[in-house]
Amino acid sequence: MKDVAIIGAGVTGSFIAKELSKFDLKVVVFERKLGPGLEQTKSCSGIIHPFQLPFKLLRSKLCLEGNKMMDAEAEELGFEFRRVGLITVATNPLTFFAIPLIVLYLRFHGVKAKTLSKKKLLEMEPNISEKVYGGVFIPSAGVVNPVEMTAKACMFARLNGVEFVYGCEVVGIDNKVDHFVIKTKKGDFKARVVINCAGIYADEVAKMVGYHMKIVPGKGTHIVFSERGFTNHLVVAIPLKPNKRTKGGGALVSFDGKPLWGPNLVDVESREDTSVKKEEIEGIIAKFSPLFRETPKEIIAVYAGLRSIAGRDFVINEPVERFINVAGIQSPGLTAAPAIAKMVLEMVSKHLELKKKKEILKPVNALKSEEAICRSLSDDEIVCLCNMVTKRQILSVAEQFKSFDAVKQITWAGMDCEKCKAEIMKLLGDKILKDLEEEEIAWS
Amino acid sequence: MVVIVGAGYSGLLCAKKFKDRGLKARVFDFREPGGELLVFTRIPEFREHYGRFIDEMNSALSEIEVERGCVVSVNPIKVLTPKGIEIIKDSAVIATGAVDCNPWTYGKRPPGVFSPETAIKLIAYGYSIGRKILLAGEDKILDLLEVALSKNCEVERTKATEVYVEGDRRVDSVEADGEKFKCDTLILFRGRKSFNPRNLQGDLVGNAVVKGYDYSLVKKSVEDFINLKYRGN
Repeated sequence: MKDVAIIGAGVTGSFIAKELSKFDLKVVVFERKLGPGLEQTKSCSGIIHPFQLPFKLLRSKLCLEGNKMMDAEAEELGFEFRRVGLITVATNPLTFFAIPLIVLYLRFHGVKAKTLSKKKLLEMEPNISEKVYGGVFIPSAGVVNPVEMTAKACMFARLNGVEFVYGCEVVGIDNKVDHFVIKTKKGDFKARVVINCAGIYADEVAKMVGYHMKIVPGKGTHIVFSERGFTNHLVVAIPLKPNKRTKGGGALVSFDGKPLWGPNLVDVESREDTSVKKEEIEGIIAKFSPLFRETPKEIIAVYAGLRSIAGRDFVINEPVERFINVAGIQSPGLTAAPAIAKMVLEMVSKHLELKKKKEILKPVNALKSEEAICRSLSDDEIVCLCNMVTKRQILSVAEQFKSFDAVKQITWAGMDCEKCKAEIMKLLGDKILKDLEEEEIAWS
Repeated sequence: MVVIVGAGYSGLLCAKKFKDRGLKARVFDFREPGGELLVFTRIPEFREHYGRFIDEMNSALSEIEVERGCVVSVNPIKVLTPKGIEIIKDSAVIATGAVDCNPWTYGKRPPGVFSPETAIKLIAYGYSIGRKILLAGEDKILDLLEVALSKNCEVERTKATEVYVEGDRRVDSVEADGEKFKCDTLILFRGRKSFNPRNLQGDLVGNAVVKGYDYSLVKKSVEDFINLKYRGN
């Protein structure tokens, strides 16, 4: 009998697992993919948002809280987090005159904001178009590698006793009054408390205990360009009229400095629809190009991800006793993750005694300094030169997460040019992943 | 003294020409020497097509000492070696080669989409990369791949590079130029770019400049460079 079963090892489930691992509890996490954060988390923008409108919503409060917590989380778990700051640009006189009001409004809600003159704006972002009027700088915005962030939370949790079962889809839940029987593709499990973090399938899991809610998947497409340093901050245009459904995306920056443009928001029928249409790519380029003197030239990748949308806000409730629903975690879910975990911990404490562990283990992080790389070269080799990832680092991650996707997303090997791709496939194919389907055909 | 970054065809050819002219050069490579021609050696059709360049490179390799080291910056040159960090205050010749442009597509991103470079390496490693293969783009390298693959697989061709991929666990079909191809593998050639991830500034030579699969042009680049810079030495 487990104390807590978490369904889903996306950023939401992983941070909850991480918090729970600090207490004397038997926790298990079920994830249907072969590694953590490989569904929604993988294909979000990786932005740590400075705020979410409107301020009265739960997701807005959790966003502000999560944003403040992020430095400490990055330090504790050992993931990369950079506060690059956000510049919102006035592209016409109307939005330009609104700037002082915007600054006041943000500051009133506890968000640091500073007016930027056109001159200062061009100093900060030399590639911005001459046609801008001015802007607002919001320093608290940041970027992360969302899968790395999620995986590091999982590694912390695992180090402190949480069991992770990957490739394990939950197919049914029986409510036995004082506990649940969770039916999965890898067998049945018993748990006192169940936490539903099943992302785009959260409504299907909720239905298993008789709670009806609807998740509508919203697809967002991104473009990754190769020119690092094209922009150094997140750049968006001040909208004439804020869109109720979406922040509208921006000329963003990936955690590795590459320009990341998007996302848009398109309602889709299927929860497996992550297709990218040519018109969407053209639309994104057309939307953000006017902000700059020139458009980045080389597209490295285009990708789409789904957001699980349940109306305007997160749905964090307990519709059935000891079944905690953490659903509809759309944007800014990544930012809010640490704050959501705190909130859920509170809810769990009503049913289980939270006895803090005497000793909490911290994971040792791989050194990335040049000296460290030199030292390892005697019996190790650099596989990915673009991101300085060695063979041992790749195999070490593969040991924990038996998924090619997870290894790439966590080490970032092969995520610039694809020179090392074949070698990574060979490394993983030979050593670790012997029981994937379709072995005869080189998998990707 | 000159430091040559990269011990592939161009780096080795350069080093040999320096040696013949009595110039001192140190050659570094972050992996074992041979570059992509070494990979081509393992596939009969490629070995035949690139034969004279492979032989030229092997001849140079028998005379030139290659040191294991990763050059991370120049001015001055900083090399990460198993013995530690080395700083060298000489000029650098960048012979780091080319890499295929990323094979990005519209539609989904299922397993089974490769650049020609990745496909060639996988074949050289002995993997079967697919059963029904679509080669997209235009270049001699695709012609070579077609011959090499036709022995064991069904191969189709399209000139289009803006393609739409469908499939979940594996490529299922590819739409190109209004035509729908049923296949399980897509090899997409979007051209090549310079492989210089550390953005080393210096004299770029060979495929780092030529950015292609035509090695007669790569050879010419090295020869032109040597003649221009080290004329009469």
